[in-house]
Amino acid sequence: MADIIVVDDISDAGVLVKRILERGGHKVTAFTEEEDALTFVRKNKPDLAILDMKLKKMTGVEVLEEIRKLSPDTKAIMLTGYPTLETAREALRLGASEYCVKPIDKGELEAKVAEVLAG
Amino acid sequence: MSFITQLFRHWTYQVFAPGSLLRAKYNAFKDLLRSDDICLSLIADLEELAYGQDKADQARVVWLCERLSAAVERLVGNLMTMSPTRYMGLPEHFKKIDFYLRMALDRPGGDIAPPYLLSLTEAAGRQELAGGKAANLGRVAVETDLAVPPGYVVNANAFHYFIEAAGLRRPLDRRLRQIVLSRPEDVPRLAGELMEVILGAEVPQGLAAQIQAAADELSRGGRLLAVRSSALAEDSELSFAGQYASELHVRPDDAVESYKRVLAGKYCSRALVYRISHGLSDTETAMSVLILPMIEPKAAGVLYTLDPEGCPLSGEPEAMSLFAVSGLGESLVDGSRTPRRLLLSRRGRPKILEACSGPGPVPLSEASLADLREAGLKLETLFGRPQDVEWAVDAEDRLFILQSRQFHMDAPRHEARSVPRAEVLASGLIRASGGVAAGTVRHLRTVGELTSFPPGAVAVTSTLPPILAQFAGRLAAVVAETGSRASHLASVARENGIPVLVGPGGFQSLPEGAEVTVDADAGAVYAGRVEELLPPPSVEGERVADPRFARILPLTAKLSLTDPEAPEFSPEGCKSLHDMVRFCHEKGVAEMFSLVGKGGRGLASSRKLRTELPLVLYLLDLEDGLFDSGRSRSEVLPEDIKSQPMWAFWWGLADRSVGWGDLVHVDWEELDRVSAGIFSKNSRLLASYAIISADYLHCMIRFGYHFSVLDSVCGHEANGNYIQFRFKGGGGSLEQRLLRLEFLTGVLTRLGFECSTRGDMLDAKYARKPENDTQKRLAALGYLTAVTRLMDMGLKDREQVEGLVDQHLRRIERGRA
Repeated sequence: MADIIVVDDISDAGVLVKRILERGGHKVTAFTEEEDALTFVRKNKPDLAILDMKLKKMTGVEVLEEIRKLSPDTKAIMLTGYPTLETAREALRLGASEYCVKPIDKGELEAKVAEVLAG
Repeated sequence: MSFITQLFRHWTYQVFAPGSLLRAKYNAFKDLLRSDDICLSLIADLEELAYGQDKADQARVVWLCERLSAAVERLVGNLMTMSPTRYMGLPEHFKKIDFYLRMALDRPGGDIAPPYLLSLTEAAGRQELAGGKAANLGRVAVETDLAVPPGYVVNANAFHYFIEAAGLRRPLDRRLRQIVLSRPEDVPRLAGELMEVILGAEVPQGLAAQIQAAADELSRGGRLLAVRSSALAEDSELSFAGQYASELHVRPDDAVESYKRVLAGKYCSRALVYRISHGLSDTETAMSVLILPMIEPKAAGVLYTLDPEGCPLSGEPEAMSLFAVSGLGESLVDGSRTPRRLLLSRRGRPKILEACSGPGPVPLSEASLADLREAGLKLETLFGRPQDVEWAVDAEDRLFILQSRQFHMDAPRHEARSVPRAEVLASGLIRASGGVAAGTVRHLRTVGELTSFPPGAVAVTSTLPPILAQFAGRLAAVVAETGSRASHLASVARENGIPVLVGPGGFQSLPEGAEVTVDADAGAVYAGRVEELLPPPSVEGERVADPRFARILPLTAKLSLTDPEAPEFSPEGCKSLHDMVRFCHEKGVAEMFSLVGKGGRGLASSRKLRTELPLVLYLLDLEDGLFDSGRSRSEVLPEDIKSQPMWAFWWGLADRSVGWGDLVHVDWEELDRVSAGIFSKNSRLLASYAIISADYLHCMIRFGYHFSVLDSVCGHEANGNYIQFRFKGGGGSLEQRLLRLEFLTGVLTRLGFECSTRGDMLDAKYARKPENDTQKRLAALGYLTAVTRLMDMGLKDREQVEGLVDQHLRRIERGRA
């Protein structure tokens, strides 16, 4: 099973994602602080990062750019409550594999995570 | 209106102005029904394209999706107006699906970065930028010693840049989305307009200057130019042979205009139809243009390096086929001159195996023939497959290669469909979902019978109820007396490749248990299994969707919410726009159904119906439900009723054969409970109510110990019509009450209602039928409401019930007095 991190400035949202994915047997670490997440990525090179678009100091897209530098093989799924085509395009251009719009749907999240990890 | 304002209005009205709330709910419901109809039509249109029953430009797919999304948003808004708090997650989930759909439709626009011109050498192998023709010719120039004229390619990025800079995308898409291949008569007009859009636009200055410079360079020494199409998908897997325009003898000062004319050729009727029928988008087939100097040839023509017809006379199995004319080769390609055709040996010494058609001497020297044969073999080696080569030989006997592309064998001929000899049981029916399937006829009268259906049945039904969708896996085909392609069921059927036909007479012409073949494409049903029509077993039952729809269909047309009783039947359970449509329709009807609480709250401004019948009925006219004569009086007479469904219902209710007696029919249970006789029998708390408009009726009838709720739209639009009838309670024992339900179910089922019972409650539905049929059922319900009011008390056994069903059906069939 995969090593996954979740970065969301609201800890509840992160915990929800963590719960859903842990039930699927994944190892999940949730972060609310961008710096902590990036330190973790540098050290552990996780398989997948699930990033909220709106974080405390940076945007999810900026964190994605950092992650690509630190651990190019880490895949990414973006999360957002206020989707726009522009940010979605930008995230996909920077290498995000998928895009999840809140409210998070359990089945949808599981399916997308499985698909991204398989591809 | 913002959500908060709406909610505020809801509460305010509930407390202060109940009549206004009803009105707003009713208007929202009417709009909901209209939106529902629009949504289902759009879904049907999308599915026809996705499953290849019709073909259209990608611009139409995008446009249909955008319209569908807007219609569903409106539908969601209608339901939220009807009940601002009950479906809180709905708008949010709509936004989510809408966003995923926009992502799925989001195609990268073409790249508009320079450089815009490439030399032929630079174009070598770069099909995605220079188009097939130029990329291939570039490879010939770079990788062989064969002579190719010098040339430039105005590449695909230049095309995108031109479209973008001149602002042509929208005017082009606006016309492209109107093209549907099943309406070929519209294509020439739209093609003309599309070409006009290109021809009327200005090539950006910088680009025009570069084209001019290239033209000047190539025309040095006074030569004229050839300006040829080299579209992105041209000469690849698809040939596009002869679809696009080329111009010869172009003067260098006309080069820029000629470039535009070749671009415009992309939108001529035949090129549009060819492109769309092969499922390519406008952007995918961006037009590159090849500019070459004209060669004044002694002879020119075409060479097929491997002619599949072989060489019958000499007995050699393989040969090259050479077509030659003296002078320019264009007259050959466009068919205006008959060439000499020679067959050349592919192996051993070069020789003419056969000189086939055409008059006059061969316009080529022996050396040129040897050159051509040699060139053909080299090109075949270079591209790894047989080639179709355009060539020219000039006055000095030098051979030039002008074009080399994959040689396409003839496409397999489509056999004309023979008319089967089988007996025709039904014909002239309308296709709601295409395909052919065979199976055993099963008449479906109640939904409950579905569970006992054997797999592979041909269901014959009176309508197309959405619930059939749940049993899609068991159905071979469906023949319905009424219904349309714009129904949920037809949609699911198209997805599952189940043929569905609609038209009257199914029950009579298709006998129960008979083996039949349903040919939805021909609108006919034949007796027995007609093997010649049936698809080969491997593809039976599965319809492959166009891959371009792979991401779009799950978000639009796919229907997974089929069971309103299931826990997933919720806003969160909606995975597609179709799910949302299904959800909103179901809940909208339910909201309307619960319009009147049992206390009759919200009916303060209603007026009493004056009648000799011993019942108390209040009417609330929402809009045009009463004639002017009845509007001013405080009591309304039956003849004041203008509302179509109310009048029909009343007609049945007031049937003289009923025998009413003189008991005033009020809610005795309520009377017992609240007052033990203190309340007046005319109290509004205990009476029956009807909310009416010109084509709407919501009626709550309280007779003695039972009550029934009737909700109906009855107007000109068959698709919007429905009757929903609920019957509950009674003064008799439970057994007697159930016997009465059995009686009602027996009669209603035979009148075409779908019935289901839970406890002592009956739900009956009748939907999407013409006005006249709906009216007859409403009158029947009126009649039944009257005759059943005290029936339970007198019921003893099933035999008696069966007798009553027949007796009352005869009465209803005879026509109401």
